[in-house]
Amino acid sequence: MANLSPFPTLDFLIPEVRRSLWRGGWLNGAAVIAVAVTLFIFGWGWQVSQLLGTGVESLGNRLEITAYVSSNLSATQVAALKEQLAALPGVADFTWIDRDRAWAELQADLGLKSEQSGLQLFDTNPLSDEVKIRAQSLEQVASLAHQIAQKEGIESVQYLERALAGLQSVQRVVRGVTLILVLLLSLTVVALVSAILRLIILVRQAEIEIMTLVGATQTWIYTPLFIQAASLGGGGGLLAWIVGWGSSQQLQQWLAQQTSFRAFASNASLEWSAGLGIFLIVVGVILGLVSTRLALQTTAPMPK
Amino acid sequence: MTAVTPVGTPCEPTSGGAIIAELCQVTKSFGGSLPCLHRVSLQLRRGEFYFLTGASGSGKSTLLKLLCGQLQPDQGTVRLFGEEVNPQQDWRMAQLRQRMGVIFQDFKLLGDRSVAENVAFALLVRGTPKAEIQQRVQTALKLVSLSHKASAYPQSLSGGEQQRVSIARAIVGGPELLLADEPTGNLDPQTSQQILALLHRLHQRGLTVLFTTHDLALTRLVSHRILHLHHGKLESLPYP
Repeated sequence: MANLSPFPTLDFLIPEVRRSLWRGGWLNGAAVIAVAVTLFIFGWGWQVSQLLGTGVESLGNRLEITAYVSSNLSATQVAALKEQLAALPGVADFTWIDRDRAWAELQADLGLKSEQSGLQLFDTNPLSDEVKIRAQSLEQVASLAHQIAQKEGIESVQYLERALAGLQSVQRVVRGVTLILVLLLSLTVVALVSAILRLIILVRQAEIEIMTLVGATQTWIYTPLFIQAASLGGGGGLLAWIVGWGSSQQLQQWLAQQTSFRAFASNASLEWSAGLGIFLIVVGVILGLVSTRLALQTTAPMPK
Repeated sequence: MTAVTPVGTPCEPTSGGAIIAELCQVTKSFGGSLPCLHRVSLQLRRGEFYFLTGASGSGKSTLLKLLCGQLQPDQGTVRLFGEEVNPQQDWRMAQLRQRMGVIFQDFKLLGDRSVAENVAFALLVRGTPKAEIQQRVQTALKLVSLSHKASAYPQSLSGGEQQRVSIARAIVGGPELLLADEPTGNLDPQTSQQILALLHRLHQRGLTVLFTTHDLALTRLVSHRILHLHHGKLESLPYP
């Protein structure tokens, strides 16, 4: 039986890929740019979403739930309530402020002494015990507040529900828009690259027929195309990262020069990391490989 | 020795290496009402030279394409080197195809490669080492008397020379069977005779050849077995 190497040799692959790229001509450039634009948008969408997410998360961590405790609880009931609150899932920490301390703090805040007339209208301390609870994550705040309100001995619960919901929805919108844009652009890229490869396959029909007849396997015949598409995708990913990195540098410099954004610029990092670059290149390569598979499914000749 | 199994006779599995290629009750159609080949049975014996004749559209090319796995029969089986041909089995087909060479009427040379590169291509796609490729290409070009044109491009060659390059590409891997699909169809009578003489010489070196042609005059030049396709059915003609 004849010798047959399962995978193409470099002696074969390098000239074939070079030849195939040469045949693609300016269409290769179009493919690289299409991939780059898609991944550039994806990169910025990702960065903005991350930035917004970090902001929302840190703000959310600062959002406290304030619960007011009924004033007629016995010491035993207070102790039991403390235990129940501490045991709730999602509680990062909580501070119990008893009514006497709260009263003293209020007086101090107002700059009054108890014997002064302003507060003499209260015969007794009008405040109740108060609990300040911090959730472990932003998503847990609303449900935690609801659970706290259900506890016996809790009179009312307060937290910045609307602000929180607003911030979360902005984050969701940014993520959603980025995802939809990237999906649509990815489909465009796959369609474009596979169309280019289909053209190359059609141009190479005679060559493919000869390769088949002299005993080349499908792996030998089509590996150069996979490599070509992966190169175009990877190239597009690299270009997206370079442009993204450059633009982030420029933006950060500009923000630093703006008085109103100075604080923001010093805190927020817009820089495109090397990790993001590698990720974009990998996504580009995957887009290229998917395009090749699609092109082969619709073009590669099969015996009838 | 009869090369053609009469139509309707059940095909027995072949044993030993005497039969190099075999069609057994093969029918092939292309959507029309009449099949292009109808229950064709055929055995090609090792070391023989066969002419396959028939008018244009009689099914000669279809028969060759079935033999090299470019087409799948609607009914019947095709065997090469004792193994059933299944075009869906990529790896097995590649192995079988490496044991045969194919040449065409339109030469099918790659215009952007030199003569030597065209011939080397057949070995390159099999992963043959570079040094071996060089040596084999030189030998093949010598056999077809084209060593001096190794660096020329196909466009600068005459039809006869292009066909000789095509033959060199087909034999460079040392095939056991050569399928020639109307190799003289685009050539003048004198060049056709030269190509036939070349294939005849290769046959004398041990190569099994199936040579399709619609030019009966060619078949009279050398004494070889003639198979004739007529309305999709195979007939065996006597030696000329």
